[in-house]
This record gives sequence, C-alpha cells and structure tokens, in this order.
Amino acid sequence: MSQPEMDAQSDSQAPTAPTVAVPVEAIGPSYLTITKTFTSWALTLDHKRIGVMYLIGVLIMFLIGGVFALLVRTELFSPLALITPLFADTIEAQADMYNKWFTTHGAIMVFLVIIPGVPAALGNFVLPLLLGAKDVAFPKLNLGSFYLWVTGAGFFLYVLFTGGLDTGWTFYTPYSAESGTAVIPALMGVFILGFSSIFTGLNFIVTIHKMRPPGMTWFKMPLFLWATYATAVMQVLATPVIGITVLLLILERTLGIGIFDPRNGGDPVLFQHFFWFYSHPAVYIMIVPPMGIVSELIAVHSHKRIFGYTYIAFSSVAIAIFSFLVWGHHMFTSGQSTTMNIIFSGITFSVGLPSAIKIFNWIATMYKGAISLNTAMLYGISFIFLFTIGGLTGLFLAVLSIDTHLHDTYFVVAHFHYVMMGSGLIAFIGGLHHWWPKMTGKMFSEYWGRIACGLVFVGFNLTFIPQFVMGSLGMPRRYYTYADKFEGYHQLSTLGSYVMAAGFFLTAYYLIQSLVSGKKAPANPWGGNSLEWHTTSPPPLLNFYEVPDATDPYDFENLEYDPVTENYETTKVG
Amino acid sequence: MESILNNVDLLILFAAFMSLIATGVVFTKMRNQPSPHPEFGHMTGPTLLLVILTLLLFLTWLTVAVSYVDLGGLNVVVAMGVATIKGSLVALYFMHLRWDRPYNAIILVGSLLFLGIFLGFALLDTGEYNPSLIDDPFLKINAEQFGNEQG
Amino acid sequence: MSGDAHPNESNQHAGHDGDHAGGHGDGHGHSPYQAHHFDTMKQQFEAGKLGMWLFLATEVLLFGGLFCFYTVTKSNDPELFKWGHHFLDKRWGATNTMVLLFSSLTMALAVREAQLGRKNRILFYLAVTFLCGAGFMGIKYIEYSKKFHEGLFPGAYFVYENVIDSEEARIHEQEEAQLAHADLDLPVASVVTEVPKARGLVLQPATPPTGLSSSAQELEHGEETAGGHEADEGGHAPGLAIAPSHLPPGPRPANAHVFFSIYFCLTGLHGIHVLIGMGVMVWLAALAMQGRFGPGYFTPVDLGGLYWHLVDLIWIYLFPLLYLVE
Repeated sequence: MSQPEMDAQSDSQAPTAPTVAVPVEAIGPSYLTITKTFTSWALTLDHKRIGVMYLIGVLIMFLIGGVFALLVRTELFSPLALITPLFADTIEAQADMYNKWFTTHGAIMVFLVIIPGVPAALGNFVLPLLLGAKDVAFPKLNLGSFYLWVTGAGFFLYVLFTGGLDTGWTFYTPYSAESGTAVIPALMGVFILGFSSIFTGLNFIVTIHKMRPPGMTWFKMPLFLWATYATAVMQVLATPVIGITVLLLILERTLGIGIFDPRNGGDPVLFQHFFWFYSHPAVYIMIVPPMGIVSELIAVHSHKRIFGYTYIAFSSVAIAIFSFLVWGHHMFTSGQSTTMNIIFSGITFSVGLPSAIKIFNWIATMYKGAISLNTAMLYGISFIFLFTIGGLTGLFLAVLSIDTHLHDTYFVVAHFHYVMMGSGLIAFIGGLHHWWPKMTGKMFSEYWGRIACGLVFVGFNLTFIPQFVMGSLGMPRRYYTYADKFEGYHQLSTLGSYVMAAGFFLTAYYLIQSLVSGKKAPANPWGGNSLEWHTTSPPPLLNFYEVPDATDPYDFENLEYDPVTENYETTKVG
Repeated sequence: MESILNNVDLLILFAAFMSLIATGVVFTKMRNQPSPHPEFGHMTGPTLLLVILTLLLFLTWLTVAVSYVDLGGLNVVVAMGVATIKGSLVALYFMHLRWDRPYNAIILVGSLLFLGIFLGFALLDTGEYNPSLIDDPFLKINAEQFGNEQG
Repeated sequence: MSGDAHPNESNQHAGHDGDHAGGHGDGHGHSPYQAHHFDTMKQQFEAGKLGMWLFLATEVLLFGGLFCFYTVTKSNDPELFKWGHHFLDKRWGATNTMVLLFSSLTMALAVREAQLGRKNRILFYLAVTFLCGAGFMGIKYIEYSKKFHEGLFPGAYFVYENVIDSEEARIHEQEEAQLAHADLDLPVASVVTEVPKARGLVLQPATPPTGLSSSAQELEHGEETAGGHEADEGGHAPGLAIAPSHLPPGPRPANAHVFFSIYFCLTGLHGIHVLIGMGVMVWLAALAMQGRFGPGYFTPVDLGGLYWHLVDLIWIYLFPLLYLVE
C-alpha cells in the first residue's frame, strides 16, 4: 500500500490536527519555574527536570572527556613527547600517562556520555510529551537511574584522582587483571552505570507499551519512539552481561578465580566474548536513538512527510536484533576460531542493510521538501553525510582479510569516531537544538548556530580523514609515538581537533547566552506536528494544559507560519 | 539426620505424596465454594497450585533418581529436559504466564533465546580451540594452495 | 524497587497543588494507590508487571554469564567436572530444591491472599516463604562451611595441599590394604611405602599455575597438615582436612580451583538473590500489616512473587548442573 493510500485510511480513523488550541501565553508556571528549591530539583519525579539534570551531567562529562581527547591529540602532534614530560619523567612513565589519557577519554565518552546521552538526556524529556502522557511509567525508578548515573560518574572521577586507568576502555585481560591502576573502582563504576542504563530502558519500554494515547497505534508513533523502543530492548538484554563481566573481572583480580586470566587457568578470549556481547549492542544503543532524532529532524525541517515510515520503524527493530549476532567482528584477530570469524563477518555485512535503508529514506524525505536550513537541520544533514562514511568504513572492517591489516590501526579509530561521534554526537547536538526551545523556552542564535555547525563539521572531517589514511598505511592505535612518515597526518588531525573544539565551545557559548538573553520561544517554532509541539515552550508541570488527541506526527499540511509570533499555528482546529 | 539424608530421593517422594494428599484435601474443601475474581488480573486456585507443587516434587524425585543411573551423555539431556519442564511449570502457573498477556512470556523466552545465542557462539568458538595453529585446517588449505609462502 | 505502584501519599510532587487542569481524573472514584500518570489501576498493574518481567529478563542474562562460564569450562575440560562434583552433596542440593519449590507455593498462595485482602493469611504465607528462604540459606551455610573447612576455596585461596595430603593418605591406605592381603610370612618386604616424590598420580604438572596461594610454594613438606583440625568421621589420619574416602576417584586436575570458582560464583550469586528476596518478604509484610492489600491493589506482592519465583527457577537449573550431572 502506498503512502497516500495509507494516509487516506488513517484519515478516516484519527484526526490529523490536534483538537485543542495551544494557549498563546502560558496560563500558569512552567515546569522550570513552578518550584525553585534545591530539593525540588534533587528529589524531583518530573521527567523533564530529570532530563535536564541528565543533560547538564552528560555535558559536563563530555567536557572532561573532550579535554582528555585534546590532551591525546596534542601529545600526538609530534612523535616526540610533548606534554607528557610535564607529568612524568621517564619515557616509560610518559607512555603510561598517555595510556591513562586515552583510556579515560574512551571510558568517559562511552559509558558516561554517548550511551546515556540521547536516551537519558533528551529521551527522558521528550518521550512522555510525544505520547501525550504526564510522565514515564516509573518516575521514581527514573530518578533512581539518574542517581545511579551520578554514582557511576563519581566512581570514574575517583579513578581520575587516584592514579587513573591504563587498560583501555575495553579492559582486556590479562593486562586488566594485573594492572596496578585503579581498575576495580572503574569496574564498579561500569557496573553501576549499567544498571542506570537498564532501568532507563525498562522504563521506556513500559511507557511506550502502556501509555500510548488512544488512537496512537504502533504505526502512528513518531519514529523517535520506535528508535527508543529498539534501544531500550538492547539495553535490557545486553547490559546485564557487562554487569556480570565486570563482576567476574573483579573476582579475577581479587580472588584469582581462573576465568579470564591464563595465569590462573582462564581464557582471555572468553573475556572478549563476554565483553563484546554487551559492547557491540552498546554501540547500537549509541547510534539508534540518534537515528530516531534524525528522522524527526529531517521530516520536520523539510516540512515533508517522512518517506518509508514502516521501513524505518522495522529497520530500528532489525538493528536491535542483529546487533546481538555480530559481536565477534571485534575479535577477528584475537584467536577466535575461523568458523566463528566467517559467521560473524557474514552477519556483519547484513547488519549494515537496515542502516542503509534509513539513509535512503531520509534522502528521499528531503527530495522536493521545503527545507529550512536551521542549525538543527544542518546537524541532521551532517549526520547523513558522516554516517554514510562511518557505515561504509565499517563494511571494510567486516571483511576478514582487510581487517587483518586494519585491526588496531587508526582506520578503526576513524571508523568508530565517524559513527559514534560524527553521527551519534552530531545527532544528539541536532536534537538538542531542535528541542532547545521546548526545553528552555528560549531561542538561540541561528547565525552562530550555523557557524558552529560548520566549524564542527569541518573540524571533524579534518581530524578523522587523515586517520583513515594513516590507519591503512599501518599507524597502530593506542601508541604514544610513531614513525616519522605519519607526522603530517597527525598534525592535520590535531589541527582538526582544535577546530572542532572551537565549534563546541562556540555552541556552548551561544546556548548559554540564549538562556540569559534569548528570545522567548513560541510553542511550535519549527513546524512539527508531533504532540510535544502542541504545548507551550516550556511545558507546564503535567505537560499539557489539555491533552491533545493523537495525531499523525508527519502530517504538516495544517501548519501555517505566522511571522509575527514566529510560530507555526495549526489552521484546522476541532 | 544422616540416615534421612542418605535416602533423600525417598524423602522427596514422601514430600510429593504429602503434597498429593494435601491437594486432595484442599480440592474437596474448595469444591463447593465459588471462585472469587479480582477487579483485574487473575486469581489462581489453591488446588491448582498444589497440583503443580506435587508435579514439581515428583519431577525432582525423577531427576535425582535418574542421576544415580549412568546413561553417559544422556544424563545431561534428561537432567536439562526435566529442569525445563519444571521451569515451565513454575513460569506458567506460579508466575501466571498462562493467564497473562503473551508479551510477558515473550520477554522471558526472548531473554533465554539471546542467552542461548551467547552460550552457543561462545561454545562454537572454544570448541575449535587449537593448542597450536600449526594444526589449523584452514592454514593447511592455504599452504597447499599457495605453497609455503609464510609457513 | 522497580515496577511497583506509586501511592499518591508518597508522591512528593512539590507544587502539585492546583495543577489539575491537565486532564486529571478529577479525584472521584480512583484508588489512593493509583499514581497520577496512570489512567486506571489496571493500566498501572499491567505496567508494573511488564516492568518486573523486563527486570527478570535482566536477571536471566546476568546469571547467563555465569552459566556461560560453567558451560565453556565444562566443554573444554570435562575431567574437571568429573573430579569436582564429588565434593558436592546431592542430598543437601535436593533438600534445597524441595525447600525452594515449597516456598514458591507459599509465595503464590501469599499473592492469592493479597488478592483476597486477607491480611493475617498474607502475613502467614510471607512468613513461611521467609522461613523457607532462611532454611535454604542455612543449608547453604552448612555446605559452605564444610567446603571452607576442607580448604576448598575459590581461585587463589584453594588449598591444594589439603587435597594433596589427602590423596597421599589414600595412597597410603590403599597400599596398607594391599599389604594386609598379601602373605606376610615373608620377611618384611622392601615395599616402598614412602611418599613418592612426584606429588600424587597427577598426570599434568603437579604444581598449580603460578599466581595462586603460597601453598603452591610449600609442596615440599611431608605429611604436614593444614591447620590442626581434629579427626573427622571415618578413620583417616588426624589432621587431614579432607577425608581420603571423600576424595574423588580420579587424579586431581591442575585447575581444580576453577571448579570451585564456578561453584561459589553460581551458588554465591544465587544465595545473594535469596537474601534479597528475604528482604523483599520483610518489606511486603510491613506493607501488608498496614492493611494495604486487597482486590483493587495487590501489585507489590505479585511483583515480589515474580522475583521469588525467578530465584526458584534459577535454582531449578543450578541444581542438576552442579549436583546431578557428571
């Protein structure tokens, strides 16, 4: 059935416009101003406040992780030690320092920023709004998830102050079983963060199952909800395995139980199986919610119905299921059996298909759309470009013969930065801009937004394209020094990282400035039709003055831009 | 104490029979009473619960008794099979899955499925563990095809 | 506690007063236990159940990692399990199984009583379930203390010398038994009854992998005992922690400690969950004493019951794998 036919069918079942008028001026206090004490925030059960607290936390950890990234890149500007001599005297100690820097960067970014990022910081805020609900299914559990995140962050900060961690964020044995650094606190942090993630996922699955409004069937949900649902399933099924893995690693270190460390009779490749069984779905947990955001960004800012809704929805589910079948592609050179290598390689090829389907659908959505090149849309378009590169380079790595050469080189580093950062983080920032007016009630400066987006885009490519090249020429990853022939590439890469950092700092500047002196945001600045745009910016405590009926989130026909209020008004009411 | 424990399978059988008797008693008592319905959800009758316990205890006796007999590789199969039957009884009746929405059962089965994938792939890998790569069959094929390039 | 309902009186929504314009149920006819973001008690109950099942799925995967440890080790090294499972007493294991199955019954009955709102019976069944849990932990205590007495600790703390000494004592006994059957009219034969220099009949290297306890370094002592334990049952030399009759028939594998690592990890994590379950029983009893439960609201008992049944379900698989299967 084609899209117009499906629309005709749904037309007869549910109204395509909301049946209530959103008040132009807020009638009462918003969720931000209704109470102002410290405890009203610290003990809040309001998903919006929890989302805001997560956002602040995640952005702080992003800053810390980013600083370590700049340390790493600065150190690599030259094959000679540049800044590590400030902290350590012998070459060995300097190399150790470098190991601690990249480990900290990786661990903080993976566990504290990207995995929680979109679901916890943005998803918490937006999910109930998209459903026309008053809150998530388990608000107290939601607050518990937040405090678990804070505790996990506390453990990692403790690790920072007690000598750091040098095992790599992947904690491979046998080194992680014998390293003298603060491994056990870091593992405890991972365990606790795992439960934060599990409870968030659990909350979201139940909310989406049980709290959809009448008329919003599964195939009338905004696609961000499909993405969140698929992510939550992965969170619930995969995260316990990293939990038991870190517990067993702690026992290996303390009691020598003999599971992962060959000195005690264990198998280090078994550790990798345990670790990657979670960590591969984890990378999809990192990318699927951003893909959900991109669906929203592209559709809303092109003012055009999303193309291939059903395919995008099912592709999220397909990614979730396939993600559990490919973990061995991180282990091709580890000594894994040839049979398993072949099986994992084959399935990895197929896991790229659902993602490719999404890319085609987004481009088709943009075709003949009335595109507004807002900052959020620019980030969405960046996503499409950067994810294509990231995804394709992943396919190269899936080929066994090629991976033999590229494993543990900078090619891999560039690939995962393209997908995790160039796609995941970019879409997170895009979503942040898209929902910033709704969350804060303020508009930011589009002018500076576009400039910052350009800086980030150019800086990002300048940082990581040289890394693809030097990786294929043999530059290994996690090395504190290198052969002279790579120096040019490293210098370009470091320069790019500074450009990118400038873009991020500029973003922080104009966003904070908008909080202070930004224009007041209307209810629907971008012209979206999902339910969050049918309440004031920012929303009241219980989200809606009058809960609208479920609408078709991708029908933009009845929205008309009013240049006076800079708001998209719904023309057909009732 | 030791003497009781030494015949633990008889102890289990005894418990099973006691449970059977209790089932009969409860059944006769409850036969003429109307079964109450809560506002939502489902209420399991005590008779059914006792029947399930009786079955579980009999199955426990069975698996312990079989463990004394050496069936070779079949021992694991029987033990796991009986455990699965017992587990299904607990899940369906004690945990209410029989009367619940199917999605709850899908969650349980799904988690077991993914656990199976984890165990299965890990076993497939360690099952091909070679103490030395010199015996690796794939390396042999390569050496035949390309001659002794790398050895 | 995941997935339970949120009684209104404990919802500390600051500034909630007056903000009922958001389509709230307008207060009449809904249970005090219905949270404001749910429309009906049925929706709240089903949401709670779904949440609890999702949590149980995570528990399955958590234990799954340990089952993977078991399975991979067993498939790579079946001799280890043939040797190790002799130390596990299937009588205690079977008794524990019965105790947990019975406690599952009483828990299901407690849920039923909560649905009927009969406070005293709820408390009774919860108490019996709690006591069954305590009984389970008591039997675990008996089993663990026997293992610790024998030096069968997990990992690096496994006291190899206890096993080695016991094996030597058994060899000694066997040789004496042979001598007893031999014709002793001959002058004293030069039967070698000294302890062979190579430790026991181990076919693999006699020393355990390095990195283990210092006992590995002290293998050169003679029949020195490990801590002066008084003679146990059944006629073995005093001072031996393990009775030679208690030893498995085959040779001790070099990675014997791994078997006990698996055993203690599996049963230990399960035991922790039983203790948590017992805590949940106490909490439910406290709620029940306040008279909260009835046909309109019994969710916490139902969800607590699901958790307890999962603990039972895991034991149903643990018991044959550890105790029954060779």
